[in-house]
Amino acid sequence: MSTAIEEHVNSTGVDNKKLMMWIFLGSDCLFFGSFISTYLVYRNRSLAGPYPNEILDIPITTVSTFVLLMSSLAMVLAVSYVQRGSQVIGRYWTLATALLGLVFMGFQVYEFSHFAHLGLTPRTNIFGSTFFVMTGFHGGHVTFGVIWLVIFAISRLAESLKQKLLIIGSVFSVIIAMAGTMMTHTLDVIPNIPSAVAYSVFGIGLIGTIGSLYLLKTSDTQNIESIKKEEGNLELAGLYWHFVDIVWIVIFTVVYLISANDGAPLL
Amino acid sequence: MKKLFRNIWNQFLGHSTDGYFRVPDTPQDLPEPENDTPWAGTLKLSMEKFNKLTRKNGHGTPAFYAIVGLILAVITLVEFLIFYVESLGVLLIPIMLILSLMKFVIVVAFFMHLRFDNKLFTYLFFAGFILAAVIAVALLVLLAIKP
Repeated sequence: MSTAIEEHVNSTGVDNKKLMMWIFLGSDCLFFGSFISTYLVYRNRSLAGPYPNEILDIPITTVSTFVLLMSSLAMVLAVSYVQRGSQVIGRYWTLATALLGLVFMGFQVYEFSHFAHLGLTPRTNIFGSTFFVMTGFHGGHVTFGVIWLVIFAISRLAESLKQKLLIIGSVFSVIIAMAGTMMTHTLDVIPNIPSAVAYSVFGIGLIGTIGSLYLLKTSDTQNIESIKKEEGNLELAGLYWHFVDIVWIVIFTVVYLISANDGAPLL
Repeated sequence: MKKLFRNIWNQFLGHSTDGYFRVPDTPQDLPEPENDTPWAGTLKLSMEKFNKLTRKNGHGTPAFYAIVGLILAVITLVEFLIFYVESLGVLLIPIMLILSLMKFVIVVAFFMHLRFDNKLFTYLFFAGFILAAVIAVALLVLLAIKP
């Protein structure tokens, strides 16, 4: 009985972890589906500005969409290389995915702050509420994905615990600085953090990340069990990451491309 | 005459091996319309080529994924360019939805490996996706109707 549990044998003939991940992704479709539906239902119903045609910036969002698509490409290359036995190359592609995810988050932080300066917050109008909730939850998913990928890559790339802690700490400080800036300037949910503090944390984190990546030493594992485990776990992270990407594909079309010309409602 | 009727009766019952009424019982006996037309084998050949091109029998190579990534980038560029074509008017929405659906399917099929993986995953994922889409459409229709 214990052997059966250890080997994840089930009647479907597929891996239990992967099955659970697909069930989760199916349910997450409903989660984002509800936000997108709400946005569409309340589209063109804001009684006060700013309206989408006044603030949405299509060229910038197209670039951020491109970045996220390329992060998906990096992710699939990471999985592909690990499956082919080139673990080190796979781990670097995993880090590249996380880095592109961070760039995408940077675009989102910029966009949120820019909108706040133009007078659009979640409290301004119904467009602001539905827009920030939907894209904010998507950003939350991206953040979680970046953390997952960084921990995954670093735990296998770095050899000493000190080095692992240094890199993970650095990346976390970048994320915290970005999230802090966004929450202060846009969402107004925490007391005002001086910009200098946020930028300092961001800078220190960035220098720490680049410096510690330079010091990395790594090698391919020969242990077949370890390879299989790494391959399986990376595939799960990859599925999650691609899901975040397809959600953005839908949001980019529905919110940006289709709604970008929406103005004041015709009463 | 009696022999003729007996022969027809036997054929009807399927006793004869080459009778007109004989029920086909092996795959070789079944008619193959796709092989009996001037386009014989075209569909099969196309499907084989498509399956080979989309790596139905195994995971893609890094070069294959790079090409898929390039296609996704090109579709995004096309979306961006189409957005500024003012003459499209209301056609913009269906065109954008089709392009978006293409990107969605490409990512799900190749990057998420549904093209190569167990069909159970496809059913589980699309159960959630289709339910979400139906709820969205139902909400839009219900709230568009004014009392």
